Formats: sequence, C-alpha cells, structure tokens
Amino acid sequence: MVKTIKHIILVLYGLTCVYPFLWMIGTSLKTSQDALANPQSPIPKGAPEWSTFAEVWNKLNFYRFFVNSVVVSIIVIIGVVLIYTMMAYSFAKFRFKGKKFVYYTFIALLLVPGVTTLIPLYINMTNLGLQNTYVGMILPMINGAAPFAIFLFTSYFRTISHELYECAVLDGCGNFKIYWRIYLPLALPAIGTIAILNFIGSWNNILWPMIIVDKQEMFTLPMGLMYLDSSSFKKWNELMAGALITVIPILIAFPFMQKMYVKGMTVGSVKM
Amino acid sequence: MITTRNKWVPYLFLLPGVLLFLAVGVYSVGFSIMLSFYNWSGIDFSTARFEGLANFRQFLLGDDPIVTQNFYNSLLHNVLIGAAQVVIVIPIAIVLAFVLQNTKMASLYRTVYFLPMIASGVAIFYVWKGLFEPTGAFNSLFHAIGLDFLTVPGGMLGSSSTSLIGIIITSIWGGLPGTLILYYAGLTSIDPTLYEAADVDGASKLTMITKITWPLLKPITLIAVIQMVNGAFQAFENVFIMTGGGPSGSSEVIGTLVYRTAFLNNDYGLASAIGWVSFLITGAIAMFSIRSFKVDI
Repeated sequence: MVKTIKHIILVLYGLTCVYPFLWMIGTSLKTSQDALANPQSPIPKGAPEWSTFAEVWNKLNFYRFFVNSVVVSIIVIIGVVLIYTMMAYSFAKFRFKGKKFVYYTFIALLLVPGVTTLIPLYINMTNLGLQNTYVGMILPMINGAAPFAIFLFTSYFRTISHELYECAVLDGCGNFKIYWRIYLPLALPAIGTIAILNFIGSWNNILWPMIIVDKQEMFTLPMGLMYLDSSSFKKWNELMAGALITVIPILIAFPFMQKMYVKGMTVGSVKM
Repeated sequence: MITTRNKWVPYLFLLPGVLLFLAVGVYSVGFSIMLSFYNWSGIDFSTARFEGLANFRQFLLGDDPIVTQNFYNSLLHNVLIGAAQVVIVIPIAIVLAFVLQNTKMASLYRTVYFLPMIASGVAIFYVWKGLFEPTGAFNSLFHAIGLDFLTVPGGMLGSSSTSLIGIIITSIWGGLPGTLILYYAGLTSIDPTLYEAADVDGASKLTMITKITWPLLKPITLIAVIQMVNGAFQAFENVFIMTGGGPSGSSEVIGTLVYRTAFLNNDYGLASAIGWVSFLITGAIAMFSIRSFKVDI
C-alpha cells in the first residue's frame, strides 16, 4: 500500500517533468491548422506531418543556426577547460604572492548579475570590432564560466596526491609537462562536469548573443527560435519543430550527462 | 604546496585567464560603474553628461515617479519569485527525495526528473507559452476537472493579475529537479550504520531525523536557498521569452527592466545604475555563498 502511494507520487511528478516535452514533440508533428485549433492536445490529429522539420531546417536556415551553436559551444568548452585548469593548477600547487587575492576576485565574479555589465561589455566588444563574430560571442561566455570552473578544478587538483608531483619532478618533468601529461588527464571527471555545465549554458545562452549579434547568419539556435516566433504569428507547429531541433543535442548527450552533473553539483555542497 | 625556483611559473599558468578577465571582465565592470553616474544615450561617449547621483535618485527616491515605481515593482517580483521557489520547492524536494530514496527504480525516476534541469532554456519557455495559451493545456485541464474558476480567459500569461504566477510555475518546474537531486545525493550519502547504531541505542525515528538526517541536510538547504534566491534575482530569459515583462509590467523583473532601459530606451546610465543596485542586493545575499566556495589554497 505504502509502496503504491510512493510510486503514484513519483510517477505523477515524472509526468509533470515529461509533459512539456511530449507537447513539444506532438505539436511539431501537427498541421498548422491543427496546432492552432487544438493547442491543448499533445497528440496530432491524423497522420504526423513530418515536412515541418524539413521546412524549418532548410527554409528557415536552422541548419546554419545549428552549426553556429555547435561552433560556439565547442570552443567555449575547450577554452574554459584549458584556461581554468591551468589557473587551478597554479592555485593548487604553488605558493605565491597575491594568490588569495586573485582566487577570490575570480570567485566574486559569480555574484555580478549578467545584465549589470551587459552594456559596457557590448560597447567594449563593439569597439574591438567583434560584433557578429564567433569570438565576440565566445570570450564573455568563457570569462563568465570562470568562478565555478576555477573552484571545481582547484578542489579537484587538491585531491591528487602530491607525491605524484614529486616523482614527476625527480624524473625531470617541467611544470607544464606535469600539468599537461599528469594533472589534466587525471582531472577528467571534473573536466566532464565542467564541459557539460558549459555545454548546457552556452547552448541555451540567449542574452549575450542577442546583443552582440544582429546578422541572421550568425544566429544561434535559441535566437533562431525567437526569430521564428517573431516572423510567424503563432505557428506553433513550426515553433515546436524548431524547439525540438534545439533540445535534441542536449537530449542525446543526456545519458552520460546525468552522472557527471550530479558529481559536479555535489562536490561543493554535500562534502561541506 | 611548493614554492617554485622560478617565481614566474605560477603567474604564467594564471596568464591566459587573467588576460581574458582584464579584457572582458574588469573593463566592463569599471566602465559600468562609471556609466551609472552619467547620462548617456549610447554611440558616442563624448555626448555623455556627468550627473552624479541623478540616476540613482531617479529610480530609488522617486525623482522620476514612473521609473521608481517600475523599479520597486520589478524588485518585488524578483523577491516573490525567489520566495515562492524557496517555500514551494524545498518541502516538495525533501519529500520526493525521501520517497525516492528507498524505491527500486530510483535511477529510472531520477533520469526522468533530470529532463527539466538540463533542457530548461528558450525552447522550453516557448513550450510553456503554448501551454498557457487561452485554449492551451492549463485552461483545458482546469475546465475538464471542473475548476472553471481557475481558468484565465486571456491565458495565464496574458492577464496582468496572473502573469507572475505563470512565471513562478515555470521557475518551480525548472528549479525543483536540481534541488531534489541535491537532497537525494545528500540522503544517500548518509552512512546507514549511523541509523543502525542509533537504533541499537534505542533512539526513536524522530530523534534519528533531527539528530542524524537534518544536520546533513542543513548545509544542502542553505546551498539550495542561495541558488534559488540568486537565480530569482538573475531571472531574465524566462520572463523575456514568455511575457516580455508584461502585460503592463505585471511580470517585469530587474533583468528585463535593465534590458529595456538600456537597449530599447537607450538610457545606458540609468540602466547601469539599476544594474548595480541589484548587484548590491544580490551581493549581500550571495556573501553567504562565497563561504561555500572556500578552498584550502
């Protein structure tokens, strides 16, 4: 009895989690009349209409938005991992002047709300001629990822035995080689967590790209969705086809995201 | 921890990150602070006028009644979103974590519960917009189960008395999984022998919960609260996509207010000033969170 109630609770909550996705998929397969007339139902009337996807993908340039999103996310991930594992290596291994100051300055970044620095950031990037470029989109995203990445990598490096470092030094390894050949590969679990967090973050980021990019060919997927929304009046089937294209890569990466995500999110809290 | 022979080595490793920070972060922060004391409509900075605290007086002290009203309204909405999340999400998350803890198919459920957390973004906000339509899922559901008084003729997001509720519902949907997972991880990390030992010593279930479970869940709760409050004060995308802050400002938050002031009204100075005041407010709250980022360096 108690067991049944438990499962009813869990299933009900599961349904609320899944329902928006079902509605998204169902609506993307409706004809436009059906989508407008029966917005409450997640099930298309009659045969599913697959052609909406082809239309959105080809006519509305979604393949281009897709490529942009992939390029931006991948470079952000690589940049974040390389730059901040290096910093974390320094924080974790060396004693030097100004260390605490630099560390906490970077962590404090976490507190500055994104909108506060949006205006000068926009002016800054425009002055550098980075409007409508990948670089212009990417640099602030990497910088924004600094606090959590530095925190996680530093704590992770601190757990790696110092003897390993000493052995490598005795074998004649320089610091850069030790970082690259030993610490970076050993930090793979932490790298996975940060990569996933930043993949989700940059894939969904809209505020910054929206400001720095106004050329359609540089749009990312979420911007493509906003464009769809503004250019066609309540064509829910088109909008949901676009939405599905936007979330599918995240859903594909989903299975191995979960474990890493939990690990990363709990490193900072549960072990307190 | 070591002191290197070449004292430049540690700094070399910091260099790329610091350079990026100087180019992107420091400049922006500095310029943004400066801007909040100026009146400037963009493009050419030589047209900017230094005005001291005029911007702050404008929205804090009522020098411009409309702007002041908008600001406090938005601030109230941020607070309401944060408070509603904390009050609703935490009890539900704790209950669900307890229920989930000893079930056989916990990992299957967990997989499903993860969906909102990872996929919550612009795409999902459009789904919510669709569900809140006048003839959408919510109104139809209320109608079908006989709760007609809950239906909103213009759709929940289209009416100024309910639009904020719509925003809160979506924030809860997106925020619950993360908190649930935190509690679940916390509960499963408790060593079961602790309970066994307590049982042998004759402790009651209630004592076990207050003496073993709660002390462990307390830091998690603190983190969860900080995350939610911080998230609520930084809310932008969901509001921007679903309501744009409307109708008639009923779901405006600081984020959308700053955006509108800067990029639609071209009042960059005022926008920066509002942004910094909201930073001070979030900063005060988040001072706690910095403690959780303490690393032994």
